[in-house]
Amino acid sequence: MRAFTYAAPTDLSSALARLGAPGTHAVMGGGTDLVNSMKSYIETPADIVDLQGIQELQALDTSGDPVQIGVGVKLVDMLASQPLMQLFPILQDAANVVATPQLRNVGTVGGNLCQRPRCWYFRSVDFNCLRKGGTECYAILGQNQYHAILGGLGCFIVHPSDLAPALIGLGAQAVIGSASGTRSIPLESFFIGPEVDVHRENVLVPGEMLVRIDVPRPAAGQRGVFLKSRGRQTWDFATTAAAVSLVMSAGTCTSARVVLGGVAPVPWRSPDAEAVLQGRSITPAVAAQAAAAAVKLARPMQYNAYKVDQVQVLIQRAILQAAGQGGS
Amino acid sequence: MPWVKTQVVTEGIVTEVLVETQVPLPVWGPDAQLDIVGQRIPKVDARYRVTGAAQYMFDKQPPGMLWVKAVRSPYPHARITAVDASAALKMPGVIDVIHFQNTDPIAYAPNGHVLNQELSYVGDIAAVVAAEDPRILPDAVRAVNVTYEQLPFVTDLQQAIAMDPATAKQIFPQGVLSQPAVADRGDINAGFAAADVTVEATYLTQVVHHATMEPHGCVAQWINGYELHVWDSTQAAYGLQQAFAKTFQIPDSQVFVWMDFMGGGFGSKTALWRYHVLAALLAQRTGRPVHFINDRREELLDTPHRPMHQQTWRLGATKDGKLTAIEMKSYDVAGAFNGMFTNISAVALQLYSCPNVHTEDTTVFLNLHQLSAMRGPANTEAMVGMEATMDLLASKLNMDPVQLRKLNYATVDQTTNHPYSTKGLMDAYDYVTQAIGWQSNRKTTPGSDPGPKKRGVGIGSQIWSAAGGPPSNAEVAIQADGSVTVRSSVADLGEGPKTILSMVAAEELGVPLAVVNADFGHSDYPWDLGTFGSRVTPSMAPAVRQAAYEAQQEIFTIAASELGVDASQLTCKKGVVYVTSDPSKSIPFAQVAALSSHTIIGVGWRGPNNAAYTTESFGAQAAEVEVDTETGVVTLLNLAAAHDCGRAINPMLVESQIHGGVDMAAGYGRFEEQVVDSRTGIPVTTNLVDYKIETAVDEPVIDAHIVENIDTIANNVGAKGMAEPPTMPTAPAIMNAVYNATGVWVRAMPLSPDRVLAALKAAQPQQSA
Ligand SMILES: Cc1cc2nc3c(=O)[nH]c(=O)nc-3n(C[C@H](O)[C@H](O)[C@H](O)COP(=O)(O)OP(=O)(O)OC[C@H]3O[C@@H](n4cnc5c(N)ncnc54)[C@H](O)[C@@H]3O)c2cc1C
Repeated sequence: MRAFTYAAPTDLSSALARLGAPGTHAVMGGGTDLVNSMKSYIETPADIVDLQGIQELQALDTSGDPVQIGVGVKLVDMLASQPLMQLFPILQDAANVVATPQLRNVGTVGGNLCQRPRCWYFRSVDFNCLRKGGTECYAILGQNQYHAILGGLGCFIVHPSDLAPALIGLGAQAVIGSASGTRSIPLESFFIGPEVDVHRENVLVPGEMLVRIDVPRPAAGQRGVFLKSRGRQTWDFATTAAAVSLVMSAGTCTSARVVLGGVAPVPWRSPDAEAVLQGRSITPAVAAQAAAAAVKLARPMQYNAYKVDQVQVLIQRAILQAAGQGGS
Repeated sequence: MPWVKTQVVTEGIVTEVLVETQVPLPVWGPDAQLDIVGQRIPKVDARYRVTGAAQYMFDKQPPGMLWVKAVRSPYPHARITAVDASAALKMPGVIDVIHFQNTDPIAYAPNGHVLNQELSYVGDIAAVVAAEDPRILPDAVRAVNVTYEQLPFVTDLQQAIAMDPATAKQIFPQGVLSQPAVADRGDINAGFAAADVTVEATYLTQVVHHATMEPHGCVAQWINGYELHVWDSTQAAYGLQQAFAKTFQIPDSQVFVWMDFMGGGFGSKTALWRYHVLAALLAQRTGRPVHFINDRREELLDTPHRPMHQQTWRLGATKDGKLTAIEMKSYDVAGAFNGMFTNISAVALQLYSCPNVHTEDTTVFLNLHQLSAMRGPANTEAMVGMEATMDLLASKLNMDPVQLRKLNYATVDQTTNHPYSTKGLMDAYDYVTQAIGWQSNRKTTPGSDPGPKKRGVGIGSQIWSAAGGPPSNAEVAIQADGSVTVRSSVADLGEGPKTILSMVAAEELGVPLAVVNADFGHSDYPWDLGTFGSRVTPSMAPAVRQAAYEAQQEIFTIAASELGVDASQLTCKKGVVYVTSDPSKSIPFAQVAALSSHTIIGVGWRGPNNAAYTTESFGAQAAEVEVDTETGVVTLLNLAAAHDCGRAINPMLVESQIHGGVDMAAGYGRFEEQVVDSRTGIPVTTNLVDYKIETAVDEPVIDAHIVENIDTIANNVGAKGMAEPPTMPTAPAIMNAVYNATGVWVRAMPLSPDRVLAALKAAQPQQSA
């Protein structure tokens, strides 16, 4: 690990001011990912800005519209918030299957959304892959069983966050702060694929950080479900995941969001699947049609074709559950 | 006592040992009246482990100590052309950097020398940096500039099998494939000719790591320039002492190895590894204690592992299910160097009664770190192919798989024609089938559950050399206050020798367990071969018994003069020595001890094995799984395990071994695998996220059952070895259960969702477009 300076400001504006100063900075939420990245020299910041002492980033306000979730909120505290879980059961689905209890006790919402990819080539000190400044994505001709089937362009990481698809399914906004102020963008446009920039996973530029997630209060008849498939039933990232949020009115789907995890370099929203659901009453056949639409453009590699089938199953199951048709 | 030659089988490896016959003590048979042995007693050292009081190797940090870290090859095969350590040596606190150019060659068995110019796998050691502060080491290691010439390599089994010999010789002088080692019984062709039914299948079993919680490492220090002191996480302190002495050309008596507590070994910590030599060498060069410990990536690159195999099994049987032929051909991947336990033929030759057996084991060399023993080496891997092919045969015969096994039950050791001293496998089958609900839960038509989630059950069996044998030695010292110390170099890896051997000493002496302290793992104590091969209980317990008996004789001699009787008339129970015929004449054990003017030390050893019998442990497991045929996820719901270990000296610890073994193997069956990028030869599973050990959440409900079958032939305590066997039946039981649930064979391990889905898809009738 490269030597670094460290600051633990207690208010947001000094954190943002420090971030804006020249030099390479990294913000630290729980540090569960950052420290690992530093140990393997993926991140070599000269300065660390620890957010853990900043009260305002830990605020979780469920009273208004939108519901506001500070980036410093720990996953465990998110799960412990009854009002939040009642408003958005899909967040419970997702946060509950993140990592392990130990990591959820420490990891934060901001850190979860901004964590670096888990691609084993990217994480290994033995590979200087495209994302780390090298010239090649080793997954293309290599061991790609956990890699992208959609949206891979040059680089085939999958986005590792379970929270992200669920939050995008809810239409969340990302509030970004810097020394010069804040801006708010849809969370789905917060994430960027390799076609935009192969070296980072989100829009943040030096001097910026994520400060809050805003989630619109649910509409009447809105229901969301997040399903994740993984080898082990804890301490494992998604091989595939599906977040489905539907607004049902008199048996008809009036609004739908379908967002996939574990299949693409970004949380993968599927307008094609949503279009299938829009205005329809939900049946197994409709759900299957939507699932098929979601993977229409999938391009599996040598070892990850199973994801195409697996994610369709999750999408179907999530649609049916969100439409109140139970089952597993 | 007379000296005799005896045969000892440890993990299938046969040796002959000259040994003194033991003092004949009455055998603890089924009717023996025992106070302590057989009780469920928590581990005597559990308190120290869970409170953090226990000192592990890492905790030894003598003043002035240096920390070290290795510079490791990023290439699977390379020659070092230059090492420039100047930048690293300028970093604060960096004291020394060693490599093949600035050290004298030190012989090291697996690959020539400890530090080599030619490196044969990713993670192979190119240089070692010593520094005062461990925090500088990762940067310092990166600052050592090693220039490599890359050499041809192979890390993929299929590529190696297909490789032409000329290319292969450029990688390894001996080529990448050995001549097959062949074993035969009867006439295999005649066996298949006599068969009504023949089945054949090929299995791929993967590389798995020991993944010990405590990494490999040691602290080495030279005292007064001539005594080498080593604190180590080793399974064999005595063996290590000898190996250190040989390497540094000093007498054994000048080497002291200590192992007090260990966080897991599983076979990977039995030998002298390079880190040992490097730590001692750097300690010699710098005159300071040196601390060498792997990080997790180093653990997954540069410690040995369970090898990979491609096993092809062919079975022939009559239409009523009698085996006529067993053929097994396996490619056994050794890694870059040859080692023990590549050959997996034993199961084919031993488990089932069959007159005609033919096995071929071909060793394959790949540019990966070498294999070593890992909990039940060879049999754990071979059991996968053997047991899955038995189920394939059962389905072809339309027969219950358990019935097929019982029909081919071996009543003698077919390799020697000796009877088994005890064999409780039949009871084990009966227990586990009952416990798993075999009759109701087995799908007579595999895959017949409606819906995407399908359940099924499967069986696996196990055979394993469990006699133990010499050399194992102990001494029992009676302190002046009547407390008792049991000493041996034997290592307690956490599985409980301190507990059960204290129990044996207390039982024989007739004192409460609380006054006994087991002081183990020091190389200068009486020898023990080491803690591996499930050998400790059947080897050490008789030795400790004898040592306790000898010490007790002295106690009786002293007590006899106090009580005015002959020593032979005395008994000791619960800490009181009394006249057997008149218990009112008595004296407390502690009082006798206080009377002694010299330390009372009894010495004991393990005597010869009974040459007329074969002693093996047996067991069976039945698994119930649920397969989500749409996501490929296999849930292991229940696992019943019944194991015959002779006498259970402490049933609680036997059950705990069953739990541990099942968990380890449930990971082998479903999650764990080393994945290597074959284009670059670099393993990519170098952390515990990507290398997936089983978690508590994935653990099945385990019904651990002891088939108690006191073995009065094996030794005088009636116990057989037990530590490794529970890993053996689990993975095949899961594979068989997945077949029973889905009607589809998944023959590449682990049974991860991608493999399960691929196999299910391949088995589907082609859908019309
Ligand atoms: C073993 C393991 C298993 C895991 N499994 C899962 C899983 O199954 N599903 C899942 O979703 N996640 C998983 N994770 C990720 C885990 O949830 C994250 O480690 C955690 O949420 C990160 O939180 P943190 O607060 O510790 O982040 P940190 O480590 O502090 O930060 C992570 C990254 O985000 C950046 N960052 C942090 N906060 C901000 C901010 N406000 N603005 C901009 N950048 C920021 C940091 O600079 C750093 O690069 C796993 C992690 C580990 C180590």
